[in-house]
Amino acid sequence: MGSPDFLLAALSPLNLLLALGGVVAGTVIGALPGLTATMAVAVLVPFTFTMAPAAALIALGAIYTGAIYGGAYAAILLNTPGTPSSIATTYDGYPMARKGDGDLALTLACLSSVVGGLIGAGFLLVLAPPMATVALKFGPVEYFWLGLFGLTLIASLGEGSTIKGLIGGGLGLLLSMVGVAEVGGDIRFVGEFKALLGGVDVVSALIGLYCIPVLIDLVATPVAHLEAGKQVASFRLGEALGILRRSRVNLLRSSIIGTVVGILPGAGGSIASLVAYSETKRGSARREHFGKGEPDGVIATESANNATVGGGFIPTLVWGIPGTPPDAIILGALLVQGIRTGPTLFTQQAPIVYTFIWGLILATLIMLPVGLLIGRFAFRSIVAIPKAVLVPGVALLTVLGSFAVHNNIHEVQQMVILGVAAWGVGRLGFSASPIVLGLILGTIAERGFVQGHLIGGARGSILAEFFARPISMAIIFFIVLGLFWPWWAARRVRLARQRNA
Amino acid sequence: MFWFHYTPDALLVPSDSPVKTLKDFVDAAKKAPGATTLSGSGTNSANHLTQRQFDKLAGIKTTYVPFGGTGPSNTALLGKQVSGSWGYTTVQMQLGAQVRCLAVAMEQRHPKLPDCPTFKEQGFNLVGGAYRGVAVPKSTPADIQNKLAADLAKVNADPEFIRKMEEGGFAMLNVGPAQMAGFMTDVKARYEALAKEMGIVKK
Repeated sequence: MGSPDFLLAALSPLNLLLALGGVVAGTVIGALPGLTATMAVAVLVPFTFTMAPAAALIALGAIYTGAIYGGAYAAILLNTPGTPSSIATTYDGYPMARKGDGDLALTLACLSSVVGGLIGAGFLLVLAPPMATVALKFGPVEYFWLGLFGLTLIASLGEGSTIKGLIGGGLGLLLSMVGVAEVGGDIRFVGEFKALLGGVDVVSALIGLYCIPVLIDLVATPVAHLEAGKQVASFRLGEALGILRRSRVNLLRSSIIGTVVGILPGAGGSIASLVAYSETKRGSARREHFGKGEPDGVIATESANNATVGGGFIPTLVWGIPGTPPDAIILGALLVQGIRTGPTLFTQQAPIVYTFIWGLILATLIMLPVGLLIGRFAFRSIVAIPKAVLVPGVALLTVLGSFAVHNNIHEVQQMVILGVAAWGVGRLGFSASPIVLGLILGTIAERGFVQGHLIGGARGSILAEFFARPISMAIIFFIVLGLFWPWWAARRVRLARQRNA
Repeated sequence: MFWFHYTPDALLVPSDSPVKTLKDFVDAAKKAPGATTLSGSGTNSANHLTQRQFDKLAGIKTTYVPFGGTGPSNTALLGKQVSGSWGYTTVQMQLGAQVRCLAVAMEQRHPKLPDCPTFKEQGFNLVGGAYRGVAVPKSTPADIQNKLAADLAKVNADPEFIRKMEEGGFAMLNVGPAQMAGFMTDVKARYEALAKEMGIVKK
């Protein structure tokens, strides 16, 4: 499994360079408020198209993990989350900085991110291969239910309004149906536009949906230049290590929470860090210190959000179902590379997968020195990049990126149209993630449904095919749980309040 | 202008399937029409056409389940989600002992798959697969066409190349410009009727 050959392959100078470059680029983009980890992966993905598959994956994994970490700088020093994954880091990180412990908070964030990232990647290394063996038992029907499960998570885990999340998911489903149906060959929603026959390209759609609204907002809102924050010069490494040793239970629990949330289709770092934060606060003896500069708060969010990276790659590689939004883009990049994710990936393309997993672990380790140094010496200049340079630069990358997918201008047009539309619906309160989930999971669920229907019909009972298979039944159980959990939890809170009143 | 090889169609089942021979397969399909499910790559694809063609030849009815490519189709076969699969000789080469080949659509057995009988041996006139070749614009001068064809023929005659291709499951083919018209007429006649039946081509 974790054969040393693959570790050696990951250690090649090129791969190390890519891991380093990826972590630096990711950290810088993540540190810029407004630019998310998904965006970091989306704008840099085209550069990986010409690389060898394992190298490309390492670069993307490094960008991803770096960006998730980079969000902590702005969260701690500016009270503005650099990425949504570090929203909860502001709760305690900024108070720490105000008390003059910004350097300690940054070092803690870096160490926690590395530990969280390593635990997530460790689970990927240990869990994914056996899961791939089981995944061979997943037939079309199971893929249908898995797709549906991911879609129901919009309702239970979505950020913001549930109804708007569901509507966004519906929009994504409609987008997923454009073009020639994979099974059956029907032509749908194409109209007079022959260019739509191939459907909506996932990579360019993601670049558009995630990047264009951010760019428009950056230009449209005259936010004053961000305070560069106080320069922090010391590391206080020994002190941070001491705190981490005391908080090892919190560190481990938050990392596991992050890994599990990462595995759930579609849910990523922002949800993981919020869940880990509230769990840590709930279980802590120093509960009243949370929100006032409690180091445990920073440890919880930063270890959890980086653990989602490894966790999210599990369903991405095993089933081809993205665990987190950035995984959706990486999945698209893998298709461009000609890599077919799925159960057989681990047997037929083992060198690529294991080289990548080791590469991800290396990238996470590289984050330690890179993170500490950038936090000290480069953060001020990163935040000082003027919009007039940033926006055109990123905009150019989005155009290049969507063009590079098929070397075709149609994808660029799709990207811009979808991006502007996403900005429009975004102003009405619809976020991009549910739309993206609908777009990606719609294809998976539909394909599974039609194939399952055909096979069920041939076997004599469509109902038995969909509902009587053991794995299907387990997934259906989780779907029901996911749908009713928020309602049940809300009810429990209400009852508890009544009892206390 | 030049066809250089093809991947012959092959009917495959998981190696632990109770269906041991093509005869078993046809018998089972006759006993329960439509109950045999066969995976293949895509709708209206080469696999789909072959499935229709064989059903007609054998007088049986099977259910074709289209997948997003030969890869997912093979995964379904290995996971036993389907009773069998319309694949190619190359698939048999890749998957080895995990699958059993019931028959290949070749004139003679494939040199590297001696245990895999042809459809013809078993009384079904089915020869075909996914053909690969080189096309040039009609306006290309005849001498350039001939030179290209000669070069391709030379590569195709290289013993080392033949060995590599056959080990991958490919079947060599040498249809140059001279034989092209006849070859195309044959293939066209075979597919056109089927395509019309399936509604791919309007009558």
